[in-house]
Amino acid sequence: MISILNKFNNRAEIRESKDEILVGEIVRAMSRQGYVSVKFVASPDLQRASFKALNDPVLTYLHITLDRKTGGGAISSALIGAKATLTISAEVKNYIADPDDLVAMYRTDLANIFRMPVLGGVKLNHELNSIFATTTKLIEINDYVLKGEAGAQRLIGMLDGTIDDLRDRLRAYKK
Amino acid sequence: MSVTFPPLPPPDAAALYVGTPEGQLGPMRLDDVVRQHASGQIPPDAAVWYDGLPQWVPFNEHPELRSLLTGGRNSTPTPVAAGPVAQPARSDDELDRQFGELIKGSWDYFNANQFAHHVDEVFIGAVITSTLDSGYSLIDLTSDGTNHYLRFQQMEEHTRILYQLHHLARSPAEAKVLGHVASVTIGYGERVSNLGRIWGAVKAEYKSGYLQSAEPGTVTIDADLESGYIYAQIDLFWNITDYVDDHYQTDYAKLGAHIGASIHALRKYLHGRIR
Repeated sequence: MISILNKFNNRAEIRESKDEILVGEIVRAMSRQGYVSVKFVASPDLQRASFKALNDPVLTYLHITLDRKTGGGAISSALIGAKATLTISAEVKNYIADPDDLVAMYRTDLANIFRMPVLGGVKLNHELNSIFATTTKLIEINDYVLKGEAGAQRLIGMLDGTIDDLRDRLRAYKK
Repeated sequence: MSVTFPPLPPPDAAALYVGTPEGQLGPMRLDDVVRQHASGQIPPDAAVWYDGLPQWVPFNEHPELRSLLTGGRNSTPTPVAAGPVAQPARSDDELDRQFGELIKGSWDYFNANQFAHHVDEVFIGAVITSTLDSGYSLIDLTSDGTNHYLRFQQMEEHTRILYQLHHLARSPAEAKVLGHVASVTIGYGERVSNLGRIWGAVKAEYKSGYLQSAEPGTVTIDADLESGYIYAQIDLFWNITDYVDDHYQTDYAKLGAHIGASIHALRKYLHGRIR
């Protein structure tokens, strides 16, 4: 058998795994809030997970991307912590079946090729059947990982607040 | 105004006369007319007469003959009110409603296909959640969409759990035959400071390299010299839909029980080998 250990980065220090620890906590936090994972893209530089919103009145999918910025080494970890950008994108998918709506969508799609409005840090984008609202946060990973249930609850609070904001921005576009 | 013609004579009756620019042919059998028309011996602009017709009729104006000559395809379709098939007049709303039903049916198929693609990622998310709830932290995640590799660590006890999952049925058709079966490797590891024991495990790993695919119940030993961990691991086949239903809901109690039983067995085996 081919050793599956070859598939992992055999890191000596846990600080090098903090982004994966946070991804695990994000998956659990999202699961607790009713969002199930449907896609993972994981590379050493970037982690992305997509979630299906099972019972959300507005949202269809959420996409979360974690991009580690600092803290990979012992010195930077001690001096400036483990900073990362967390990009959260909420997606509304409209199952359009009315030809009149399809024409309207085509016109707004065309307009959005040239215009991507930014509204208070939330970017709206419209692609075919989907409308996206996206925001990016700079976070300190240490605030959320290896802190037990307190860290998990803090993460749930941050994610919930962000998703609520994105949902409000998208509510008008849900058909 | 539509014209009604008397029926064509039987195919084996020599009763047809064919008029061409070169002259008149016949009497001919109907099947000979069809064959010679198909081979080009009779030109497409020929006309036909048989007993009962009041006058010569061009081939393409005789619906029954035209249908035979074109194999059922109308070379000059009969004009209809709207669309390729004559339809009774319907309102805009009725047409939009029927189009909507076509779209909805397509979404049903699309969603079934999406489920087949997503179900392993749903399962991976459930494994992560369940393993974190048992006190572990995710420390490695590698995924190419089909093969998923997870590694967890219990931070106080320094024990580790590995998973490799390969979804074997990624289309609805494959899933109908196989079910959503996944090849799953589960590993349990502990840090060992005794170099001799690690080296022994590395030798065992070398032997396991000859196993192309372990049979169920075969526990193999693997070691990671860099981190000092020795793992016991086992290959299993799990049907993902035993844990995840087609509404994306997970049976965490069953999943946790099965993971717990597997880890318990691997821990006992590992202790038996290295302690």
